[in-house]
Amino acid sequence: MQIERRDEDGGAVLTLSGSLDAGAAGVVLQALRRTSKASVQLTLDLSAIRECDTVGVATLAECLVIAQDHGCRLKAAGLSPALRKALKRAPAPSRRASQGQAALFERVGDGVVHIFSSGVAFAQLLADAAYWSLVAPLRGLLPPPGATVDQGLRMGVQTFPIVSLTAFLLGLIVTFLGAHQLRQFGANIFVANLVGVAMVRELGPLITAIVVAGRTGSAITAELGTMTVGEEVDALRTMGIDPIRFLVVPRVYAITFTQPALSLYAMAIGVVGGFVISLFYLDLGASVFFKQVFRSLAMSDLLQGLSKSVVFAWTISLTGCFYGLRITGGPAGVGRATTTSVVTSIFSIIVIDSIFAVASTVFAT
Amino acid sequence: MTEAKTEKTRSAVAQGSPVVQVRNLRAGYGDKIIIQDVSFEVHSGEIVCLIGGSGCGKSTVVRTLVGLLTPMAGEVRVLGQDPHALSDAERIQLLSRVGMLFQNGALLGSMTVGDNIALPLREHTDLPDNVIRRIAEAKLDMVGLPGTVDLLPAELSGGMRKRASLSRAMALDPDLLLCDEPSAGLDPIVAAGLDVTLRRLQRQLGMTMIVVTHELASINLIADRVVMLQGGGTVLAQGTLAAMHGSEIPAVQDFFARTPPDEEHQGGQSLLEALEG
Repeated sequence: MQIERRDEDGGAVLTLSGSLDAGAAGVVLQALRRTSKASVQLTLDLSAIRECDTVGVATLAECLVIAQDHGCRLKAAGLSPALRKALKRAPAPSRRASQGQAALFERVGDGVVHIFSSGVAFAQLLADAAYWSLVAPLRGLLPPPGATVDQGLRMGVQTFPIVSLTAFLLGLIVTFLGAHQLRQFGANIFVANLVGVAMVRELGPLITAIVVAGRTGSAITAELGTMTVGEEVDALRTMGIDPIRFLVVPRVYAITFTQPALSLYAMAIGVVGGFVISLFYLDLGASVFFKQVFRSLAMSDLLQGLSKSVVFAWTISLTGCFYGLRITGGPAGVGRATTTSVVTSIFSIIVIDSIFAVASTVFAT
Repeated sequence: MTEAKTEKTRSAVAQGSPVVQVRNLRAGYGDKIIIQDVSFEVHSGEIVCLIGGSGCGKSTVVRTLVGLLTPMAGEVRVLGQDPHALSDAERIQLLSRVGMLFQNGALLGSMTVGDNIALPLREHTDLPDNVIRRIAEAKLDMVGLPGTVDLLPAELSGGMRKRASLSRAMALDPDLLLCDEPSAGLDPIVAAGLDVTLRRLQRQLGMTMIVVTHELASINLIADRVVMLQGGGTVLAQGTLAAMHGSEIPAVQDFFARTPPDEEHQGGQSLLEALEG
């Protein structure tokens, strides 16, 4: 593509020679921007254009818009019959509507409205789930037989290996960090206290919840989301089956049992990880180490850890179900919703953990 | 059982009430109103095809009938009752007499075909499992899918999935069957087979059907009456199939003659005119 410019009385003339296609579009538009800014009248001489494809036609339309924006009158001359036919078929471009982003206040307002309505919808799900899990069974309306056990088995199988590894490593890391400091004071033995209390009160439930949110929470959202997209949830409704009872309740029941069990396991495995470090780094024997661990723990620590894990369980399952059932946008929406579900779950878990920490300090007797 | 059901619907007709009544229905999603004002009736034993261009609100009408969508205004009556004015228990009772065939089948992918059909049976009856299994096998035979009762939906072809969904929709011998674009995505032979099956079942069991479709071949094969919706969300025309074929309304004529829209005369200026001033 060659572009030549000359000035005639009344305006500028741009002569384009060569093929008007995707390769030429860039230079043509650039030249047009420059020239139309400086002139009031511009003629495009297209007599030396060999070929023009649909990209070329679109480029010419864009030239017209750019010229209009700069207050320059654009005309074309030297059109071959083939080019005339192509341009006759194409519509004239309409004035480009200003595509400014919505004002900041509008976006903030939209965001707040969105969060509020999502909050309302989540509260509704919470109420429905509470009804169908706690009240309805008393009236004989149970989830499908076997569904709870099926969900529980799947959750356990999904997360057991990952929890094992992460909890073990976490116990190892915490102990290593603590040991390094405590060694300086000859207080090696208190490393057992550290890992015991840390794993039981905080890290055991926390790491289990994060792993479960990532693995099971995303699986719940993906499963329910795929069902929603495939109209399976609507099909349940048309058969007179409440989707909450059929889909949500089994998952909530299952996770209420598997989460504390996994957390307990994580606590134990974390302590074992701590023991490995104490043995090799601090020369603490098994009986010394484990006796100290049990000495440092109170029943209240265990209860706190387990009650946290139950609250985490409900957070993960309900958040997963919430995002799964509210999917829009087809299969791509499933991916988006799964990500949002996991992130929201993990964030909520950390917030709840903080609340527990504050509450336990306030209520410490 | 068949005779008893036919008796029930016949008695509904004898009392003068149609199986489905829609009056001045207005419905939509959130702020978007899809249907402005739709009224029609469906009488016992007939197949009514609900037709219209894409986005006219055909699926929306069907969703209000089964209680999936609450109307903004107007009235909907199914088997003499308004599904949105009933208590939960009453609505479940009503829905057990209505079967719905979704566009993509909507079989629960995690359960076998037999378990899918068993779902409404387990929910609404006290029948033991072996009886339910036999009923499921019988329903699958009825739609031409013998021997598939233990297969997963993913193991079936598209046409077979639709038939399996049809047998699930018919598990409780419903009085009313709603089909949302049953022929969508099927090749002509499979689609024709499904239409023939629908017609045969309707004759044998005396069911009333509302079929949402825009396949002319299906409409011509199965429709007793046709209700045609138009872009603004209102009824453009309704009547017997013969009456629609002979209609004087241009949009109806174009639909049944499959007239393509005019490509040449596009309103407004062309790019050529804009460039030559």
